[in-house]
Amino acid sequence: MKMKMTNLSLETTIMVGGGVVSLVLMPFGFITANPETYILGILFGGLYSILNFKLMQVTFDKAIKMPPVQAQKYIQTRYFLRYLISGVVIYVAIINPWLNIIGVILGLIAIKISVLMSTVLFKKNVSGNEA
Amino acid sequence: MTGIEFIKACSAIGAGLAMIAGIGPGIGQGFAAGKGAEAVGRQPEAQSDIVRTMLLGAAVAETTGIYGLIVALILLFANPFI
Amino acid sequence: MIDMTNVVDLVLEFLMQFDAKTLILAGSAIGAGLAMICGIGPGIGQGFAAGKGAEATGRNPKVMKDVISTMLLGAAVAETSGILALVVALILLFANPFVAMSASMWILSASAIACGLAMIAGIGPGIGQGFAAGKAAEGVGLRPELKGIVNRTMFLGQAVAQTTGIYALIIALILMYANPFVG
Repeated sequence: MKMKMTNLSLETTIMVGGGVVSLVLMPFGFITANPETYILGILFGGLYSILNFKLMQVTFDKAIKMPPVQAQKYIQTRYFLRYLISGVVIYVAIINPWLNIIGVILGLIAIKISVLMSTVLFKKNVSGNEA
Repeated sequence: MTGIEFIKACSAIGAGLAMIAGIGPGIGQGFAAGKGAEAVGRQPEAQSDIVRTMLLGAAVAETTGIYGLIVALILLFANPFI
Repeated sequence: MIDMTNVVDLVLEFLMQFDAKTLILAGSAIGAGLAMICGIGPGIGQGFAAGKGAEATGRNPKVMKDVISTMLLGAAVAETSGILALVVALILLFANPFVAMSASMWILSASAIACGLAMIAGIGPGIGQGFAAGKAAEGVGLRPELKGIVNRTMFLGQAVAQTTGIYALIIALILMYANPFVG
């Protein structure tokens, strides 16, 4: 497991982690009135949040090679584009009866939970390298 | 003007106010990108590490904007008051 | 020149035509929107932390993991005020306590708007805590061996910075559940 962690790049680990977090959140759907719409919602939201993270990575890779002022403008315009896409995704989730909005919101923050949990994994990795 | 229309009008105002939250992450990510580009200019061989640090920070910063968006769209399209 | 008392009378007359529930719900909708303005704070603060973290990594790429973990811990705390605002907005939307209260509709709808106004205070803690997280990441980048102390100091400062945000939350909760203007 530890070997696998170090072989994968950090970004890939976090994207896989986002998927795992979505999977862990899925069983909670069975306490809601309509489990299938909740699970579909998590799938939809989680998939979008992972794609969003990938898009962000591509944008940052490009921006980093620019001069600082230009990079700032580039990132800001790209941020508002992503914000617009998020708006469309949440709109679709709200008007679609097949998607439970709470499931979609949980899916959207899955990548964030994964990022915050990665700090715990880092500690293990660092101590593993030192030993 | 009926009561429902008045609630709808006020919900539209509320949704507009909630969308203001989107500015914050924009400013923050812009600052992060500026600092990151500066750091790469100073030390180009550390580029991938710099992007990584920035990316994780920015991914966390993005969610507050999404909260505002969710409240705004609920007020517009799934208003619980009507 | 417009006679101001006349304008106030016109507005009151316009609002009078609706029943109490309509006015309260309309106030709650505006209040929920106002509460979410608070999201600006954590956004700016966490972005600042990300920038400082990137700068620290650029100076010394070997300490990247320590810098990232401090930055993310600080950013997670900076998020608190945004979450509190979201909670207040969702209470106003889905579990509105004002509808069940019996008091003047003016007081109740003004209280609903005031809940949202109070939560705007969360901008301050969001920016401040993000600033602390960024500076802590910078410090860890310079002296990685002092990470424990730096993190502890950062958390202490962030806890103190959170107080004003908590005051705002308390005011909002008092207005919602123990309103002194009612009864």
